[in-house]
Amino acid sequence: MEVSFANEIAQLRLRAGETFRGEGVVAVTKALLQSGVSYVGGYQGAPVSHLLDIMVQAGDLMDELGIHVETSASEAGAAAMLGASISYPMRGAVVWKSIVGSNVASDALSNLASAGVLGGVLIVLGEDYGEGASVIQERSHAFALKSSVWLLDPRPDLEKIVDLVEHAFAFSEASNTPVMMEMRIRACHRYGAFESKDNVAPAISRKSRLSEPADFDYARLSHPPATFAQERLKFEHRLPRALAYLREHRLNERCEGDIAGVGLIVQGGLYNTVLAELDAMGLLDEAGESRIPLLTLNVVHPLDPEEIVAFCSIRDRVLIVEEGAPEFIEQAVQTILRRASLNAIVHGKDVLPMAGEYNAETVHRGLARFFDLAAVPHNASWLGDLEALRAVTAAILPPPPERPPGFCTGCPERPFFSAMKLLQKESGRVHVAADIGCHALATFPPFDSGNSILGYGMSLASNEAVAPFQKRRPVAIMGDGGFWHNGLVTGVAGAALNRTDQVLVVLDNGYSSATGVQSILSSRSGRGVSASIAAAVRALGVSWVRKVRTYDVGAVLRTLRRAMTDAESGLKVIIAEGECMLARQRRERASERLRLASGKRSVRKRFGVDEDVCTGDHACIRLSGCPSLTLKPRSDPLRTDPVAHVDNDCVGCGLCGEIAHVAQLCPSFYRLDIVRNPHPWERALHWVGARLSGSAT
Amino acid sequence: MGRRPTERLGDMSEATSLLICALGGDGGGVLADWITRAGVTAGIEVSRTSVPGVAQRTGATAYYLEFASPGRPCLKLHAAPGRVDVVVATELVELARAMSRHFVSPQRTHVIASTHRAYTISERMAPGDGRVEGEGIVVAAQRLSKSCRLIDAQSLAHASGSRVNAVLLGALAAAGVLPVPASAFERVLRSDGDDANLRGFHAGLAPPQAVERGSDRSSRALSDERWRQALDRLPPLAQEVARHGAERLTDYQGARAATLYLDRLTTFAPYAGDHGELAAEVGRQLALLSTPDDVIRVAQLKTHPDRFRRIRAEAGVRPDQPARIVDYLKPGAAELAGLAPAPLGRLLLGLLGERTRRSGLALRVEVTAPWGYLLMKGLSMLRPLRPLSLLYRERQALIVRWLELVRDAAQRSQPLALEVARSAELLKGYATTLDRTQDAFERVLREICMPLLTGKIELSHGVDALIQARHAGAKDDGGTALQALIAALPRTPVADRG
Repeated sequence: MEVSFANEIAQLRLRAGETFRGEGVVAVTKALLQSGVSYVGGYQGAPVSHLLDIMVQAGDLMDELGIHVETSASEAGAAAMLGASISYPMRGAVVWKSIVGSNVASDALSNLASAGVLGGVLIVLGEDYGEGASVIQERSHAFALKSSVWLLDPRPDLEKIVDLVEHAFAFSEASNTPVMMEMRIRACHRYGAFESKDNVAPAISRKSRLSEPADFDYARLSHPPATFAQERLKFEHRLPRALAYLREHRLNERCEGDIAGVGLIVQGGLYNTVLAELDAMGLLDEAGESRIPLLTLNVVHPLDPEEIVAFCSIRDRVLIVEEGAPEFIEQAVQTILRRASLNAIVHGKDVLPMAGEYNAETVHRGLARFFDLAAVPHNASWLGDLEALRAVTAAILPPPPERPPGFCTGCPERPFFSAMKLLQKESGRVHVAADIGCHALATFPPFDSGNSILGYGMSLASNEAVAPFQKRRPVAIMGDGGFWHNGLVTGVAGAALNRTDQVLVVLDNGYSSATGVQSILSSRSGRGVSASIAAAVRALGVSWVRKVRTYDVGAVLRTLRRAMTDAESGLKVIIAEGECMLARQRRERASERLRLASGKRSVRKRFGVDEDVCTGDHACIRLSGCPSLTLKPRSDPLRTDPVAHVDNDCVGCGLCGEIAHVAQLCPSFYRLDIVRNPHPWERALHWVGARLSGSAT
Repeated sequence: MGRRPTERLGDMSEATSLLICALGGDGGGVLADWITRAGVTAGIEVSRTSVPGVAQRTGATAYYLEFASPGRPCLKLHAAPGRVDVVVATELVELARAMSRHFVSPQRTHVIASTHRAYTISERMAPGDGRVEGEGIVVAAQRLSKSCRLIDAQSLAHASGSRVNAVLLGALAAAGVLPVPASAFERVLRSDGDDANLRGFHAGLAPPQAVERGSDRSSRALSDERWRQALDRLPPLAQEVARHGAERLTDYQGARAATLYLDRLTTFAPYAGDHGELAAEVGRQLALLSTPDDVIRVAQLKTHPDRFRRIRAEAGVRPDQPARIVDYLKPGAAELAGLAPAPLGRLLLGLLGERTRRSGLALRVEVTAPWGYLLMKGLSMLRPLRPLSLLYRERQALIVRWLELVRDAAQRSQPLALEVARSAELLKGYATTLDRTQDAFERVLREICMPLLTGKIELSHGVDALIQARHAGAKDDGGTALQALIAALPRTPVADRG
């Protein structure tokens, strides 16, 4: 069962003049509707999953407006979907998590950018960089540069973001170029307000269809010889129009300060951080405006040479505050200034670090170095205070233990990794290719599993050159999400074609869970179509296919053993099934409430540990790591070690008992079945039993 | 030129910053939302951002809020170290994390935090006790903060049938450190119409004064009297332990076993040069070694009337509500054979192959059902026959060996004897775990203690070696750490020649 977005959908219906209050990513969604989009697509991924989730759930509103919404099979599918705007004057938007999604989309993106668009096209990028990020740290900026796609990096203020989304479509149409907008994690989750406008029903929509397809026009094909002309068009036609648009509408913002000899050129997304640190340095005036001249780039590609020259011509030194590597903007500014024969000194990655998130302290230190070089007086007391605080803290507080994320309580994927651990205990370590998805949490303790991660759905392919050189077969782990995204066509097809002798485990939990429990092709509820993973791999010629329930650790272990030792060569696929516990709980809690309210009998299962039987070795925790399997101080005066303890969050998945049996650990675990709305005879039996066993109170 | 940014940053005295440090699934996001809405309803502009991490999945999460006066919105996206006004932590180690990232400063930061612990995976995984010392975190919070409001929000939530986030909202309202009146928080909760949250809020708003915990152990004057003579022979420090030990043995095997226990222990009275520390340690370890959790013991514990009461109470089952208890048992073949009288047991074990000996009988026994209860009760009634069993004999032999080594060591060095005694701590668990830990314990006795006491390893290395061995031997690593440690022990020249 998916998350409910009823509140957010209500926000999407706000009319002109009403105040929207909510998070950045929902504001972008509302802005799309205000811009008259005809179609929306994308692939889920933090921090922008919600955009698509909300639109999918807001089916009624989309029908009213005639907007087509779809969840693409991958980012490549989303980018290709934008092809509709090559031939038709329709506005379209897609969304994905960058950098990874941009990588997947890049083939279609290049083709789209070369052909150019008639209708405005916006690609919303969830920029997963810095603290809390879950992907490799690279810049989306590179894609904008290589494909000549414009890139917005809005100042993280909801009003500004909404304004820029609306501009983006017109900007795209004015220059026949797709536009990307990067939304950083903190901007996506930024809560704020803006004044809404009415939603706009698109002119071309599901309710008002085109009567004829577009005429044949070779110039719109990304195919030679048109591609040669398109390359020239990018720079001779589209770029000048884009620059004219951004000048006319002043998409970038300039703030004059009274300290005129220096200036800062700042990525829009970093504006707030820079302003806060200028404040801390005493460089804001009484009205809260910067005393240092600022050029805030809400459009980071293309850069307008005129604007840069105008800003820099009257300064001795400028600092480019640009997050991530390489320093594309700094290089571009240098080029622009040299071409204009200006001699302002340009600082950037010489005073700021090349890599890593630009948080308060990093920016503060960089600004301080710049102001020292430029001899701009500033208040530097904070850094000194911070050093003192560091010293005091270090003296009295040891560093706290890490708290890596782990599988949820009752997660169906945990038992599989318990079995993997047991397998390796009995028959030695195996090479494990990990993948993207919830199962990547097995890379953290207590499982510490996985030799490599090569991308979403890439695990099997990444074992192609491992398998031929291992005595024991390597194992590739993949989720059902990764399987449909890329694993089937890249991994299974490759292994089938090359008859590679290795093992693929598909953890089938029924959803794309790590991104917020979205339906996928094989989902048996929601928008899924119950596609069969087993049938798909068989269709590619794989004959060794086994299904197993993950919670049955013994059966998983036996199946793994067989896959590792079976005489049959070639790809062996284990489909390990167990529904995502978050989704299952969401559904079952609702139906359970109904059952109880109507007086029907129901049984709640949970596990427990007998305190006086547990000896405190915690082998069970090393095989499970379940958040509800924790510790408790012991009341036995002779024993000091804390005992294992199952807290009240237990959902009764049964893994504790399974492990105690399969790994033959200890007799401490019990299952408690609490009967609610019991039959009268159950009550009577309970009454008798309690008296006979002496446990009646 | 370009339009000037419309947003402004209030000066630092005007914007109030708040950082919530929580765990995925703790309701940190909901708490942030309540605070935001309370601010908005009170006419204060609130901005907020978050790095929710992998929410729901137990990792650390952070929510950052700023409050400004109307017309002067604020906009920092990162909490800046040393520049946070209020830190709310939903758990003690998350408070430590906030402090270690320098978000708590004595000049500026008010702390509102729960003192309860959600143990991290590294603490939980450790064999034995890997828990972080919480007292130090509390002391650090008191020293590093401007003001500090620490409550056990989990207990308060439990007592009020609510959740940690609602209790902390109450504590935040009570602290009065935000420009938002307490009534605004309450209004938000009321508008949601969730009574549980309101109860938690009120529990946090005015937490009951901590009650001094009195001793809950009833006095056992009678049993003391029975053992008075033996107990009097022990140094005072060891008497309490010895009493607990004797009680344990009585419950385990009867009065005679308790007497044997006390007799063995009193032989350590003469060595109590260190105020009874050694006797106390031997008393503790001996009691545990003498009461191995064999099948009979497990059956006894599983059918104890107190157990049923405790399980039901922990899970909040009403007295008239039926509930089944199903025990997951898997006695090993060796454990079962070990119940047989010693000669027969040895014969049985000899007949079993290595594989069979390691196998077990997986059972799910519904101990609240008649047959399950009778099976377990029946097994527990084998207690009088236990001294005949192979396991009992073997354990007694091990105890005698260990006691001799401790006694031997005590004649040379008090600290060494203490460490030899403590090495019994290695012994833990059942079945495969017991195999592993018993192997480690016996290796420590055989390959460290014996060579130490026979002069093959230099005595001066003894204490260190045994402390390290206790840690290495506890590792669940197939014995490699212990092996490496033993191999690296410095042998005396005599040993080299031998």
